[in-house]
Amino acid sequence: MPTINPSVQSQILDAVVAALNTTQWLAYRTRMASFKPDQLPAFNVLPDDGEPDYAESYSGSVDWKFRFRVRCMAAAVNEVDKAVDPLFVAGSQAILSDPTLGGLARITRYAGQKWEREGDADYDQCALVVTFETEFGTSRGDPSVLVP
Amino acid sequence: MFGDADLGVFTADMGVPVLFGGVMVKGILNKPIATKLADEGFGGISVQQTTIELPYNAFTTMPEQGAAIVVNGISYTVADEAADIDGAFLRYPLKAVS
Repeated sequence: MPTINPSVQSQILDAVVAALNTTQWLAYRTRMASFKPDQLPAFNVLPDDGEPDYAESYSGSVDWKFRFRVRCMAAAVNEVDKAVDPLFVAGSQAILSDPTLGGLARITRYAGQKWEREGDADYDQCALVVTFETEFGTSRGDPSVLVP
Repeated sequence: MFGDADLGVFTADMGVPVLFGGVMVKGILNKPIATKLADEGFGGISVQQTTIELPYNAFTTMPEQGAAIVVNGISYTVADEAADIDGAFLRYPLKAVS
């Protein structure tokens, strides 16, 4: 069986998780299991939509705009948004201190954010979902081959 | 005929101690688990929705929103107004203190 290398977007997700794990909070990639309050605060990194662009790329490559979401999650008795804010700051610093994500992307930038919150429990819960957009190039026929 | 004086029978056996305003009574503790803030159905936060059910006349003055209450030895805050279950029992949503 030939080895199948991970796609560039998968490598980007790994790089993001690694960057977030340099903060004082744990980061997970596409964690599907729920979090208990004592496992928070934490980050959950999830892939989002991607869009190929052939217009300005030279023959043999495709430019991608790929988005990923960083869910900054916390539970607290009161003012739970304040518990999330340090994750937003530290997470942004960790990701955007190197917008190339270790040479994988040409640029990484914010693409949006959304607050989610719930009460009606022992602890209030909050997630600040920060969407980032990266741009990178790959081979037209192989998403694992990076084209700078 | 069933009356107010009989309400304590319901809580006597399966009730847990509830301390409010220096008075101890018994109430029915519920701790169901709910998952909130799921992302497309997954990766949410699993929390307990603790409530205590008390006879409507358990205390001279019943707890109100924001009141401190100790249930089964654990301190809580009454999170919201009580729900009247059946005219005899009130269900209080509780919130952790810290």
